[in-house]
Amino acid sequence: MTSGLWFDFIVGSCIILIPLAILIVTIARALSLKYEALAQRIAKLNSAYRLITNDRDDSPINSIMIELDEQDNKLIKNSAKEIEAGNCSKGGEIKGIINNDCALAVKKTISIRMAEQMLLAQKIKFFRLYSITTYLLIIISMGILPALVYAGFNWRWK
Amino acid sequence: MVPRESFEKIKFLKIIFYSLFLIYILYLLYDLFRGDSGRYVWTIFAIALVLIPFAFEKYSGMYFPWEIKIIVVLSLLLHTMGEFHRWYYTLTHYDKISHIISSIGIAYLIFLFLILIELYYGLKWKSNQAVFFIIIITISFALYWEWWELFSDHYYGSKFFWDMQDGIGDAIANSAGAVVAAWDANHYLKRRSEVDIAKDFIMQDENRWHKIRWGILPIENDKVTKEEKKRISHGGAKGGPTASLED
Repeated sequence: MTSGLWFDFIVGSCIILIPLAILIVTIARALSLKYEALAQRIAKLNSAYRLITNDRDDSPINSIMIELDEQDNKLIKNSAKEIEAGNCSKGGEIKGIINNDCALAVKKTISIRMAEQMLLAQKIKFFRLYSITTYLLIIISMGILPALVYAGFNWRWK
Repeated sequence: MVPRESFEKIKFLKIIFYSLFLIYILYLLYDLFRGDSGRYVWTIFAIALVLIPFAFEKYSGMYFPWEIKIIVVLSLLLHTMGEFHRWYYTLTHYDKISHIISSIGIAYLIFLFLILIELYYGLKWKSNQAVFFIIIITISFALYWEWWELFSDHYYGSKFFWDMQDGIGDAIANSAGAVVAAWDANHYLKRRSEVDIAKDFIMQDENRWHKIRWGILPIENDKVTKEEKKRISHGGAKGGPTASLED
């Protein structure tokens, strides 16, 4: 505590600001990775949809050309079964997933994932805004008392 | 960490919390009765801090575990008692106990922040990542606290930092508290899956409004059992673990 007010302040602040910065950067990186992964999944689903509608593949579930995400595959299967069950609601039996059901199911999955992506994009935007604001507020709040000392405000603890 | 389906344990924790809170209120009443403004202002401030978790629960839709509420009230109460009875100056290691409890509280708050990030953004923390952040940020807070004491003594004429030996002892006590909380957090994260964590921390959502904000929801591959429905309908689990699974 002899190297000058601002040097002391910077050294002390860094103790807390560096780990906080590491945490914020880690979260921001994980979020952007998640966003990219979601974008890739949507791209693969779109390719699968094109393949089905062009009649080049019977079902994306059995596709070897496009490897869909496991969760997406599961969602497509369930949606296709639901659509088929809806079609057979007048007492018929589910015989199997037909091409049209699959196309609708993939379309439904794409819309779900796109909604997820939009929500995530919004959350990332707010995360950036809030984290930068909070970080600046922490720096300002830590700097108030040293600034008062610098300004010549001679306050002493009783 | 006690999972939220352990209703009996939660009831026990609630009794402890409200007992400690009552003691705090008694200290406040005594200070008000004596008209000791130098102390009751700080006691009112501390009581307001104790009530923040309840406000957090109300507005975030996230459950704030009772054990963390207990640690928050206990760490503040220890500080108030230490000043009130002059234990900080008469009991040799009272300060260290207070530091350990407070650092456990801070470490748990950081853990709660990590859980909030996990649930809100749908990011899965590895347990070693969570442990790293809990320890590193708690210790940095603790070191900042010690640095601040030194800074305040130098520039504002206070007498917080007694000597280097005491400062290092405080830092070690804080680190020990961080390690204890990190160990418990690690144990909890290894034991509970993502869906379990969501069940443990996401509050009952009667209006479905909170649901849209969470990245992880306890809705996949799960159904409400008859017993759980009965328990929820009887008010036994306000904010219960499966309340958001009903639709």
